[in-house]
Amino acid sequence: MPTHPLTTGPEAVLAVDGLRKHFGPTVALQDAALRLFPGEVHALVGENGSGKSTLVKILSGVHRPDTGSMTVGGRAFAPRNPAQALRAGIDTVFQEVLGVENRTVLDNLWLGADRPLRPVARDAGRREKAAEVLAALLVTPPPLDAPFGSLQLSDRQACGIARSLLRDPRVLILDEATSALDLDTRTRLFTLVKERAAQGMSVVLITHRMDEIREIGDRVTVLRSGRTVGTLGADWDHDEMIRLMTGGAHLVPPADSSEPAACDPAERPVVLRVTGSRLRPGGQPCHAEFRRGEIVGLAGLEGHGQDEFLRLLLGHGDTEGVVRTEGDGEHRVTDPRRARDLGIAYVARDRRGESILPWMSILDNFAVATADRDVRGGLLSEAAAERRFAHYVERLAIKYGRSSDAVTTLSGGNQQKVVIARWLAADPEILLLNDPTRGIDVGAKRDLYRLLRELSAQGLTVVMLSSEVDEHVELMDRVLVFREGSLAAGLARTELDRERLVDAFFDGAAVTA
Amino acid sequence: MSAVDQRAPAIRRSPGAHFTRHTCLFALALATALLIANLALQPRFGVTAQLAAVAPLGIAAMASVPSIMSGRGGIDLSVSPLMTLSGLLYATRLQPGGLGGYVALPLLMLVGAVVGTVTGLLVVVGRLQPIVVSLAMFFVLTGLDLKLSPSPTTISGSWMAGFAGSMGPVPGGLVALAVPAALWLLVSRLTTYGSLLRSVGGNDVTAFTSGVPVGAVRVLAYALGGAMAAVGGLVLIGLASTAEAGTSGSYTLIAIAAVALGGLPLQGGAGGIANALAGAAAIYLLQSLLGVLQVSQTWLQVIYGALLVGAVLFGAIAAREVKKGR
Amino acid sequence: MMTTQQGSLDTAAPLAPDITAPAPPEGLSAAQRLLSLQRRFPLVQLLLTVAVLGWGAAAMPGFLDPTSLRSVLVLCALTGLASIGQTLVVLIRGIDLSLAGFIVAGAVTVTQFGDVPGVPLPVMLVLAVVCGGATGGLVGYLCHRFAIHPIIVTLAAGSIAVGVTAVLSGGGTGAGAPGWVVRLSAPMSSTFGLPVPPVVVIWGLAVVAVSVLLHRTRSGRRLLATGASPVAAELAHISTRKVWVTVYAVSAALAILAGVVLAGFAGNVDNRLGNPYLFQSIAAVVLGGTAFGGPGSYTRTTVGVLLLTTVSTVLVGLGFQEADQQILNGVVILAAMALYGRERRLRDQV
Repeated sequence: MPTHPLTTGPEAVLAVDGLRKHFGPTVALQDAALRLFPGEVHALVGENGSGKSTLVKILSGVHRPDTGSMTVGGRAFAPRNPAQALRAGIDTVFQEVLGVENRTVLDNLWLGADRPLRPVARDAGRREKAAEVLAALLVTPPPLDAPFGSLQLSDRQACGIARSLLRDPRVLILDEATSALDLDTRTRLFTLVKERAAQGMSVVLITHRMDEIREIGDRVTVLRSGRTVGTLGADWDHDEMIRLMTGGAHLVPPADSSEPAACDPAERPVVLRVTGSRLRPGGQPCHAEFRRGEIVGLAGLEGHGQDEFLRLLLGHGDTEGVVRTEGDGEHRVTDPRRARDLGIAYVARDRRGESILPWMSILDNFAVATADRDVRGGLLSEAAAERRFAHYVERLAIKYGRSSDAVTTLSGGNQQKVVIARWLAADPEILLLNDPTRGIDVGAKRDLYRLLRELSAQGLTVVMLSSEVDEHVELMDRVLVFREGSLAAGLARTELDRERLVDAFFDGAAVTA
Repeated sequence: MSAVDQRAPAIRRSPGAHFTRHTCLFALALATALLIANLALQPRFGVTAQLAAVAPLGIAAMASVPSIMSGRGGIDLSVSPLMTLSGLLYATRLQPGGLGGYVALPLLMLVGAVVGTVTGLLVVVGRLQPIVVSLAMFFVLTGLDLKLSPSPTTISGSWMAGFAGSMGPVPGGLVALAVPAALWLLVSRLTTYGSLLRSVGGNDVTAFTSGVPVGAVRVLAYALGGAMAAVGGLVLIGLASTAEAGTSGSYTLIAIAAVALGGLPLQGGAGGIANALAGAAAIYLLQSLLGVLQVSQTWLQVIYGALLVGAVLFGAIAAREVKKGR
Repeated sequence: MMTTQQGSLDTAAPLAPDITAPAPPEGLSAAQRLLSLQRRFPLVQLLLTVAVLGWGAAAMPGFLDPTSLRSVLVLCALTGLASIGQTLVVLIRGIDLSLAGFIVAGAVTVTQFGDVPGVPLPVMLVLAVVCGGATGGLVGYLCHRFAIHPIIVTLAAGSIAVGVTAVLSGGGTGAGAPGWVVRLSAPMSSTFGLPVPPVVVIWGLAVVAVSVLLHRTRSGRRLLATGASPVAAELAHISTRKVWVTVYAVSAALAILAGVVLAGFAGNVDNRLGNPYLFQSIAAVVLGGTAFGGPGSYTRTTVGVLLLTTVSTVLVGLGFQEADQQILNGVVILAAMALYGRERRLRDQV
């Protein structure tokens, strides 16, 4: 039985205390705690980088904590790998780890149920059970023998959840696992979850969507900077949760407080225009204009078209209607190289996978897109690159040891700054950013906001996709909201607040917060 | 070539069948056409002799399959010297030690499995690139082969001579191919292992988070390959009546070529020994046909290279179509 | 390894105070500094080379004589020249098994096509290099365009190269290499008065040229970036396909040239001439500490070549047999890989 003084009840199915985890020099979790009771749906919230995913990965056996105690059903719990966590009844559905594409749906649903070298189970019951769970989740379940790779994203995610439900876990962890579900499936899932909870299964729900927490959450634990800062009861209050999540501090002073807009934004010249491009085949045509010196946010639930829109501005997809206007000249943005020549730069989403050159030096990472300017007598001059870099080091407050060190020796925030410096060095007039503050620390975030403000005041147009509602509210001049693969709404600075924005995600129907 | 024809339907019944059939189709069609051509041009195209001759390549190709299926760039370049090691161990240790009978087969397969396990552990636990690990193993095993027997050892009158002819009513070559194939089918069809191997090769991260012991599955793939390769050494003795270290490198590249020609997806997770057998058959029959036509060996190199490129292009484009189709 | 370790940071989406920049170099202990140096330069390998040379000198009188040193240098130069292309290819995450074939093609060209009426040998050689380069470029294109593992395509290309040259030459192996080619690698020949054979001088120049090209030019930077992260490189407007085509073309062309030199050294040319050099080139690259996709350099490969060659020379001299050498080759590659080339843990990829 749990002996920790903080334990509120002897019956906690999962108890976590003082969990700490570092990766190299970075502390991902400082002091995380969690109490999960049988049959409750417990939401875990926190900003990006607050340690939610690290906590989940520890609970699911992917990572092992440095220190701290975990118990399941009163027994010490220290899984060395996911298999052990599963055996203890802790089952996790990850957002991005869905299934094996070249296997069938059935194989995927029972993946991990067998140990190797056991006789093949000729269990017809498996088909039935799988079909049953799928039918409960999906209106039109895919055939069990269809290759997993042929499914739509929503169905894939549903299959990932079905896999966990099939195992009848004591604790089900849904790590942003509802993001791609269509509304129908989500409703069915929640019904199913409530049923299972009534039978004693506990659920840890990680989601960005307040309405989901409202709908099925019993209690809420808030993480901030790797610490558990509080657990709220069923009567949780929206403002208090936000205060706990952010620590009460706004990252930047509200835009209208200090500096009045230099001139009416509507009078500034249009630099980029989208007329009638479709984000997806069969989607609604989009119309949008971007003016000099604006900061425009792209918002919406994950996967509702904002990525495609950003890619469109970069010259991918249906670029027929994407036009860059400069003075009197109009040029179509036909492909990425053309976009670059027209002064459009792009900071990709996945910093490690798409932006940095891992083992190469900080300086090389900075100069890679603009190396032409460092050529002296036919050879690259490091000194020239260094001189160019120095300018941005100061401006972006990049902290580093030597510029010849590998870029991976930097913290995530500083890596992102180097990447942004890379693209600023190309002297763009339009800067596209794809969720640039993902997984970087608050300090670096603050620096970035300040920088974007400065740059836009100097005439740079910033188009920034962000998955954080607060970021839109605090930073953007206006926000374009995407829904179901189309541009659905535009909110100006004056009408921009949390509720309105989230409301717009759902067409004003689903939000009560 | 009945070996190929018999085994292919067994694969087709499996869940991943659609794709498997797709990938080895090219080599199967090629092999069939070449077989017909061979039969037409060679009145005395004896099945027994041909099966015996194709057996070592077929075994080397089959032994390359599990490691490739395990994904993450899995590949075993040390299959060929391992085959030779097995033969040399028989010639220099087992037979002089009185273990020259049928008992040698399971013993040597065990040795092969142990060597494969070492390779697999280096890949999995050491987190090293399979291609480089197995290249290193290639060197180590080639060295061991030379140490065991610097000069060829002649063995005559052993039971392996049956591999070159008949074993009872059955062609020896067929038996030779059937032993590793049976091992593979036994492990991959009758146990959960085959399914897990495909899942691990298809997406190891998903398999890992779903509780599959990914490392163990991978190591076992290399061990299986090793055990299958060990059979090949005995077949080589049966064919040539000698065991020599000179054959260490003979099948390394051609086995990979056979597997690729057979359409085994090199990214892992799909296919099976049918791909290896189809590819090996096609290469062997081509060699044989060109021999009959008295085309010089030099042309063989060109045709064989062009075929290989054609096969992988076919595979890549087919895979692309499958992706597009969804 | 550093990269691997650090790479894991990001998966955790860490929230760290912004003071995680590395400590200033003064704060490093001597051991850490050495370790950091080792990551940039294969120091241990170099020291080992010296130690092996010392061992050879102690065990074999006359081992450090100019004559025997020259022979060792020639062997180094031959392996070194054959490893240039492999280094470049490994740096972009590829591998080149066609090396063996193109070496044979080059060797056959210089030994068999010397007396074609109307076509002087130099023209013939240029033609061979151009054809080889074009084939290599095609290999790079196919691999990149269709995302096919280069192991297969290069294997096929090598086979085609051997076959085509054999067909063109009628399969003859009679003629030897012309005198000037033989003199390139004859241990006792000299270069413009320098007491070393020309091939060693050529190799020395190649080391400098390749290093400058890789690290001081835009093309080199594009190559390294393509290896470091193909996606990031493409987003930085580097045409990774162009890089693949060029690197494989260069690798093939250089292999042809290496074959020319080898023909002079080996005397008789057969289809297996290139095989040992293929395996040695991979071993030297890995041993020098170049990882697939980088980091790496030709300097590192050079040290790898020196170590590999001195070890095998000393072992031969001491009466060790080929068997022991092979085993040692394997063990040494594994050790080098364990030092440099480890991959990310599966748990860091969730």
